[in-house]
Amino acid sequence: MSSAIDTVELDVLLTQAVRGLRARGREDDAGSLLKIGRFEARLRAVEALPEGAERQALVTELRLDLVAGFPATLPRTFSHADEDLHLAFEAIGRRHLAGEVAA
Amino acid sequence: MSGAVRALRPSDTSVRRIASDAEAIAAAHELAALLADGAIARDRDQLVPRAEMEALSRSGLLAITVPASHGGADVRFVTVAEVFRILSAADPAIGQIPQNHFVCVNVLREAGTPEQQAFFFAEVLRGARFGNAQAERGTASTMHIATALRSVGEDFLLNGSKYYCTGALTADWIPVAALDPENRSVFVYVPRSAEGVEVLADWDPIGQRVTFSGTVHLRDVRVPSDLVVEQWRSLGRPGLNHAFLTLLHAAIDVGIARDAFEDLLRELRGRPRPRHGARVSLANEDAFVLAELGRFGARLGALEAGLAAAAATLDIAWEEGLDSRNTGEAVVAASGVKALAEEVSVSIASELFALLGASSTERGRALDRHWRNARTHTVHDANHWRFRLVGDWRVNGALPPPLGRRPQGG
Repeated sequence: MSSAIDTVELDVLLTQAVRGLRARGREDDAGSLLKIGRFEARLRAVEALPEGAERQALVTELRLDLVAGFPATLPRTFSHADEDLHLAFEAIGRRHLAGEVAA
Repeated sequence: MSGAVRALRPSDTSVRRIASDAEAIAAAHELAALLADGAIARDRDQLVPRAEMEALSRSGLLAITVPASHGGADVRFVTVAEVFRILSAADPAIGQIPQNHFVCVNVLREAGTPEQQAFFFAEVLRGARFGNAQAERGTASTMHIATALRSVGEDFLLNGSKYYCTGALTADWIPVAALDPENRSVFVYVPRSAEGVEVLADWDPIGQRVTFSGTVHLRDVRVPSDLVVEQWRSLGRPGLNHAFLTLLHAAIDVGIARDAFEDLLRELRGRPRPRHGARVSLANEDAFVLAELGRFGARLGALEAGLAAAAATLDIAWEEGLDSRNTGEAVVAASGVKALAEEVSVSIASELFALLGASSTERGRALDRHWRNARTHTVHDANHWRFRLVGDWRVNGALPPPLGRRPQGG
């Protein structure tokens, strides 16, 4: 699955989270709005990245954080790749150190 | 403009006339190379960056947003944001100093009379620098001010005290946020050398030490009406000033994050010995360092891409024609990336010490400057509330209200 599709799915998850907090009357709660705002900002930044390992890793990270942020609202379907996210970042770090990622 | 107002900048052929977005980016890279050399010493010794500001004037970058109809390059917001990011990655204090210059050029664009625009845009094309004197201490909020104009015949007298006056020390003109005799929000473009203007070098923060964002006193400064830009006239219609100033703040923090990350990479490449306690023989085999490096690199890449995407929302709004929706959404986009930039810049600037080990804390390496600069600049305004603004838009479709200064007690 490409990360472009994943960002669409993240947007769907975020919409579900928004609906959930509205249903619970939290649409004016400062903490809830801050949480949604932070996820929205992260999603837009990830969305702006070109396809690649960085984008894929950040999509996974954001999905995990979203589900953790709204654990009673969002569906939980995890994979072993989710558990191995640190390995994806390790590979990215190795490429940065080798000068294989342009600034 | 009346005869009472004179140009402060003589015609200077050494000031470059930038004609395109690509030229602006190239000029920013050239200047950044010059600035990077002395950044550590300027920060350490808190040197007033007079030569650097003159170099900025000569670079032509200060005029890149002057409208084409006035002879400027009129570059896109995406380009302005990238220029700020590039300069701030070299020296974030120098990167921050012109932030209000660009905001004040935009104030002229949105609220200046044709005569004021013609006069000041010509000054800017000759390399003139705008400082700023907007915020005041001790008022109900940063948007409440007491500085005011009083009518004296056909002129005004300006009185007040300002703080956080970034750029004022090395400016040609100091745009002062004030209230006119009817308590309306105006910007008074005061010559730095005018009688009654006192700029203090009393800026002593932990970071961004070279911005000299200290005090300006204004004591019975005589001001002809030509120098009063009636900003209140523009506050009732959609504008990009709030989004623009927010975007530039974000770009400065993104630049700090990039500089910190590049220093982290450079230091790691230069030290084969692993951290004390690491069960590897070479530093570049430390899985924890690699994973954090990768996480920071990915987040920084997204932040930089997000900055460009947020800037594009301003360009799109401008091209579409400004309305309350697209200008409000531009504020939302700029606020999101600004708030995110705090998290990324501060985390990289802090964690780089843990990834590099004990020797990274030696003062001579000056790696602490990234955290000090990020920490100082990112608290310009509360990013918790920036995230809330973004959330309010996503949840409730709420657009941010326009910014406007209010009288103390009002």
